[in-house]
Amino acid sequence: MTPNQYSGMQFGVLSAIASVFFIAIGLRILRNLEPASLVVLCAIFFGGLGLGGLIFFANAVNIWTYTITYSCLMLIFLMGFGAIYKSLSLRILLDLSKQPDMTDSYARIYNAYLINDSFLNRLEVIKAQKFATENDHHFLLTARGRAISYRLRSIQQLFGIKNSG
Amino acid sequence: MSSSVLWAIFSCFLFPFFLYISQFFSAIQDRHAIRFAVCTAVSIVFWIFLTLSFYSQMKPIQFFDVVLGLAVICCSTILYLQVWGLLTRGYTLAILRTLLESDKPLNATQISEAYRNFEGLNWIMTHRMQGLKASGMIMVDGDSVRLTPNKGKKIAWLYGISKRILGIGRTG
Repeated sequence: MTPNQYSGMQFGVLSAIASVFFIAIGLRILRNLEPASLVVLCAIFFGGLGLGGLIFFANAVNIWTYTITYSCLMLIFLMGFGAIYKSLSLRILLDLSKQPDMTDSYARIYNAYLINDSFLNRLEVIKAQKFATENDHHFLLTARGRAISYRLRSIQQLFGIKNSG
Repeated sequence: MSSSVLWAIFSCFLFPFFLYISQFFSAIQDRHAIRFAVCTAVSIVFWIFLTLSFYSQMKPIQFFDVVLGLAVICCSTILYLQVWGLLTRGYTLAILRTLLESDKPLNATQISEAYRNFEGLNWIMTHRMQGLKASGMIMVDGDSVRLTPNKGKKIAWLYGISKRILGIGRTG
């Protein structure tokens, strides 16, 4: 490994640590922003900032090594964040750990997590994103929702995915 | 950029093609997680094959270049995994598809019944519970679900701590 490559790797690791630090602060301060958007924007912003800084101020650092190291670490972080933020299974585990004897009924978990917390919440998201309209408690896809659904179905069919969920 | 990294990038571009081909193998065509794992393995083997086949005698392969090549494969695999996860397990997208397949507006109950080609919303619960049970995090006894004291409790604790460190109050 050349000194340039070693420096690039070090800067990549440092930038990734700084990004995660600022993401944790941002998630506490910017409560109105969608957390997933905030995390992705921060990751891109700090990665770009580091790259720009290296191009203009530090010629002795290998930018390819920096980019690969930073991207790899941030993508691993984003994958972990996605699991923490979205995983239904992890939420069920945490809730179970707070129950007496760490035990709960299947029916309550089903109603609390799948129906109330998850399913009805997703229907609200679909409405908020204008993918569907609700009329007399019935949902109908909008032109936007239909276009996305068609695209989704085409990609799923291309890769032989019969069902999802 | 070294040839190892260039071949890694080339292998990454071929990854969707590997996924496409994998649907024609009946043993794995409906097992999406396994399909993805197999394609990742094929992609790594393909990268190693190309790197070893076309390396230059003048400029031997450096260990660090191999690490960088692996990092490139790792990056692309995570990116593809996110997209593959959405396509195969996307909950909201599956609701949209349920609405698309229906020729009339549906209410919440009808959507939950028609979900996943009429397998119903309960399919998700059964699927997730099977996964948690198989990984030894919960025990199911009739209607009662219990967290296992070792693995389940540790993962729940780790999840709670991670949420607190990141400052995620509510989840999606």
